[in-house]
Formats: sequence, structure tokens, C-alpha cells
Amino acid sequence: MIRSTSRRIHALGAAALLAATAGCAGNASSSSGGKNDDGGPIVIGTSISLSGTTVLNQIRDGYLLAVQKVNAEGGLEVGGKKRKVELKVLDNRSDTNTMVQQVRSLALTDHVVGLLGSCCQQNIDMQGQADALKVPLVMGALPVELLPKGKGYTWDSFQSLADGAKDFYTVAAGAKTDKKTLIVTNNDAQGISTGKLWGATGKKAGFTIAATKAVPTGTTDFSDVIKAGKSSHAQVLIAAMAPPDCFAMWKQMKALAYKPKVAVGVQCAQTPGWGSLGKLGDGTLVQLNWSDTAGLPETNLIVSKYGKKYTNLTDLGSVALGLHEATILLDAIKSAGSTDADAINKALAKSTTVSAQGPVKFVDNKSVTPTFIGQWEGGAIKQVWPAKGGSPLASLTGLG
Amino acid sequence: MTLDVLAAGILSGGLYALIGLGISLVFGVLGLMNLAHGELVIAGAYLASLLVVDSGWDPLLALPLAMAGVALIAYPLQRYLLTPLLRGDKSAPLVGTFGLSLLAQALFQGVFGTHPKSLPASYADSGISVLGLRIQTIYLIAFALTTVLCAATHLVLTRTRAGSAVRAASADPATAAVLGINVSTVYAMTFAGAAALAAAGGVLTGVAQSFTPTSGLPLLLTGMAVMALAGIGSVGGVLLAGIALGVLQSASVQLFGGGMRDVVVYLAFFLVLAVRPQGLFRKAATG
Repeated sequence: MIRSTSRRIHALGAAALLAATAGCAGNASSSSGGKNDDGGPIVIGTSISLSGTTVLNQIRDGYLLAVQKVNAEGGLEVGGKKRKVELKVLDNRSDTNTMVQQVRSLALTDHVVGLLGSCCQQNIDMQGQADALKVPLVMGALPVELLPKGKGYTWDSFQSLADGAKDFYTVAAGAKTDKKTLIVTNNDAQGISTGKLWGATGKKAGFTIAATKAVPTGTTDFSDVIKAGKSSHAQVLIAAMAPPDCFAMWKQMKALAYKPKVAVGVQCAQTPGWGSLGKLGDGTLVQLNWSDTAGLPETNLIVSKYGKKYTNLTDLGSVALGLHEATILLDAIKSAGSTDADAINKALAKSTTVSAQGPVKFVDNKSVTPTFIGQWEGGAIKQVWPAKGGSPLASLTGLG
Repeated sequence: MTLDVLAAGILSGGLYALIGLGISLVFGVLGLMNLAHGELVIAGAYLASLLVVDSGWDPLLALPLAMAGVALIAYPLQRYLLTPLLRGDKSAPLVGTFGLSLLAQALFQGVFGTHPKSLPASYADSGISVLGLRIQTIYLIAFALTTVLCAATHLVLTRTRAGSAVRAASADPATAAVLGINVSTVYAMTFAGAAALAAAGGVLTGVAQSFTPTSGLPLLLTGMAVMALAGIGSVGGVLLAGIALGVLQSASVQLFGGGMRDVVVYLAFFLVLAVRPQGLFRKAATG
């Protein structure tokens, strides 16, 4: 029996090894290695989360689209001749330690000339590596306010939290409400600062913050929040939480008959899974980084290439984000006319790229992209702000 | 404590008890801490979603099929993988279930994607008024179903031949085997039964809340807290422990705000382990 057990443990170990090998094989998506000064392909790289708690396939697809586009035109002109671009994609499996190792490997073994980001906190952690290795890193998926001051090798082109809050209140002002607002966030540091930002912006916009609540991630009982909303007669709801928390809260709000007139799900309603709430999700507002009706550059390319694979606006917006980031880096390599990291970094500082999320102009390594407000209706999101390219604001029927 | 806080705590406790019942059963009979229990819960939700989201079934109609489906998956896992591991090193089955947990998460991601899902139903977001209190219908349904499943589990364990075999295999597997009981089969049936209970919890969680491939871990922790409060081998104690956990959570939110919810719950968890390691309800109920 001991032998049998031992055999099974070995079998489990072998299975784990096979799985790990498969995972490593999955990383080798497009690479033949090679240094960047030997006349071969110009190698750029990314350590991005493609499995685990965060899966960013859409951003990866945007990166690949940018590289395919450049290579279809013969590559980038560097040192007087055109060279193809090779993107090395490594899946860090949502693990920061893995990301750190992969970024170092990309820089020191693969000699990438530039890096592309992952998302969120990982981007902040990646900044330190890029600065230490002195390799330019272009990222999005991190609100510009959250990018720490680094040593100048990290470039963030994404939305501003302040713009997002301001735009929401502009939309909310157009609805008939008493302007009394309930703000619910998660109780971590980011949640608390988000609550403060939205509260301060709301006051400036003439709204009254009737109640503010902070709850732990994973909360399923929102009865105290709902009670606060009801007792303060808040008709405007701002919920900045993890998606599962918002799902539970929306169901409970409806069941306990709390009926705000305007509601936004910051972060949480961005997930395409919001559609699985059915009619309950109708009318909920959401912040978007991209809209297919806003007349942004490369919209047709994104929709024609990925419209079938990704049928919702937020996924296509992530493709646009990846395309945008990679285009900024590739344009900078082209402008630098060199694969030298410092030359590329200087070119990034002067970037005037116009890409999938609009024009780029870095100030303190940050370039703000536009914010759009969308509204869920029938399992899909439509743009309601800005008015140009948008539909009229509908009522919050899901909670009504 | 106000009446609505008490009601909310009791009703949410029903769902906690259902999730804890399977863990308690497996640990009590097999001596196995099943770290993949959360994934069995989520497997139930995903199986039900195939019928509910894709084919328009009502979640409560899909529930028995999800229970049967997860039980069918669980049986061979226990029979051919975990039971042999139980006979070896003590850490082997623990590592085995941890590996299964990771494997299941990867499978969920590959098959269903990573976006949160929810099981739509008219009773998911409806409420009813009872004695002036507004109650979310799904939690009332979950509480009633948990009570029924706890009673059924208790009856099976205490009033049937199969239950006698389970209790014999739990008390002394070697003697049970000598008496002609196929202990491996009993273990596999117990694991499958616990998986079915987990699946039921998953379907109700999917209706009341939402689920993702990685939702299993917090559910596992909830189940473990229920088991620790209840004590091993007490079906009635599991129900009471679930209710106690729910009420404790609701009361802590009322008294200290949402930020202290988990702190209070896990403080109680450690206090019980330190002061009364056999659980709060071991003597209060038989099972």
C-alpha cells in the first residue's frame, strides 16, 4: 500500500510537472530570442497575467495586433533598414514574484528594448524593475494618479480617476435626482482613497454626500449599506467595489426595495459578466476607457479583427488599450531610430503618437486618455457620455 | 441587536451551514480536510449555469442535477485517488486535495472564462415582508433547503444501513472491513454525498450572489469556520454553527461597521478553537 501511495504521489508530481511544462510552453508565444543589435528582429516583451485571478488576454491581443500591423508594413526602420518586431509574451499567472523574475529575464536574457505592462498593482510593481534595469516600460490599465514617481523609465497612458468622477457627476446632473449621494467602496487603501476622491468631486459638482460606507472585499450582506441609503434618501449611488460584491449588493438592493435613480458600478460593472444579472443590471452606469461609437482611431481595425472574439465593449476596450500601449512603444523605437534604451526613453518623452485611445502627450511620464460613461441595457453597454457618439441616458430600470 | 439584523444573520447562516456540512461530513468520516471543497461548491454553480443560463432552466430545477453531476465527479476522485492517499502519509491527502483545488480552478477558467457569473431567477432579487421585516427571498429558500438537507443527512446517517456502515467506517475502519463493509466504497459514497451538498450550496450561492473560478477559497474558509464552531460529527451542530456565524457577522457589522466583519468572525473562530476545541455544539446535537 505504501508503494501504491508512493506511486500515486509520483503520478501527481508528474502531472504537476507536465502542467508546469505546458505552462512554460504556453509562454513561448512568439520568440526566437536574439539580441537587438545583431540586425535580427527587434525584441520587445511583456510579463502579463494570462491566468490565475486576473486574465488579460484582451490586452495581450492588442499588443499582438500592434506588432502584426507594424510587421505587415515591413517592420520598423532602425539604423537605416527595416527590421521586423518580435513580441515575447510571458504569463506571470497573476503572481508578482513570477512577474519580477520574468521582467528580469526579458531584460537580461532576451535583451528586450522595451517592455509592455500588465495591469493594476502589477504595473506599479513592474515600475521598480523597469527603473532598475533601465528598460523603457509602457503601460496602461493604471489610472495616472496611481503611478508612483519613479526614475523615468515607466510611461503610463491611461484614464484619470478625477476625470472619471467628474464625468459621472456631469451625467448624473442630467438625471432628475435630489443629488443626495451614497458612496460604497471596499475598505482597502485604494477603496478609501477612491471614496474620498468621489466625495470631494461630488461636492464640487453640487451633490450632497449623504452617506459613505466602506466594506471588506467579499461582503455578501449589504443590509447596513442599504439601510444607510434608504434612511438618507440617497438617489445617487456610487459603488466602487470588486465585481462579486456589486453583484450581491445589486440583488439585495432590489430585494430590500432600495431604489436609487442613478447608479454607477466603478470597476465592478465593467465586467462583461454584469450581463448575467439580466434585467437587474439594466441602467447601471459604468466607466469605459474606449467606445466604438466615439470616433477613436483604429476602431474599425479593432472591431473587424476582434469583434467576433470579444462581443462586448469592455473587452474590445482592453484590446484598444493593448494596441495603444504597444503602438506608443513601437512609435518611440521608430522615432529613436535605434534600439538603445535611453534613446527610446527620450523618444517616449516626446511622443506625439495618436493611437486607439487618442493622442498621446506625456507630462511627468503620464498621458491621460479620455473617459467614457456607458450604460448597461439588454446585456450590452452603450456610450452615454460624451454626448457625441453617445445615446441618451436611460433610467435605472434594473433597480426601479 | 435589531430584529432585521438578527433575521439577516439567521438566514445567511443557512447558506453557511450548507457549505460547512459537506466539509464536516468528510472530515468526520474520512478524517480528510478537503481543501477542494470550495471548488466543489463552485462546480455546482457552473454545472447549474449550463442549464440555467444556456437553457433557461429555473435554478431550483437545475439544483438536483447539479448535485448529482458533482457527486458523479467526486466519487471516482475519492475512490481512486484520495482513498489510496489516505492510507499513506498524513500530508498526502491534504496535498492531493490542494492540487485538485488548483486543477479545478484552471479547468473552470479554461471552460467558463474568468468573468463573474450569476444564476438569474425571479427570487434572486425579490423580497418578502415578514412581521414588518423585509427579507431577501433566496435566503429564505436557502435556509429552508439547508434545514431539509441537514435533516435528510441526519436521517441517512442514523436510520439507514448505509448510515450504519458510514458510522462504522468512521469509528474503526479496520474492524468495519473485517465485518464485511467495503470501506473504500463507503468513503467514496460519503465524499460524493458531501460533494452533492456542496453543489447545492453552490447553486444557491450563484443565485444569491455570484461566482468566479476563484470564488472557492472564501467559501472553504466559511465552511471550515462552521465546522470548527460545530464540532466534528454533529449535523445539527453544523446548522446551529452556520446560524451562529451568520448572526455574529450581522451583529458585528451593526456594532462595528463592515470593516470589522471578518475580524470578529475569525476572532470567534480562534477563541472557540482555544477554549472549546471540540466545538460549541458537539453535545447539543447528535448526528
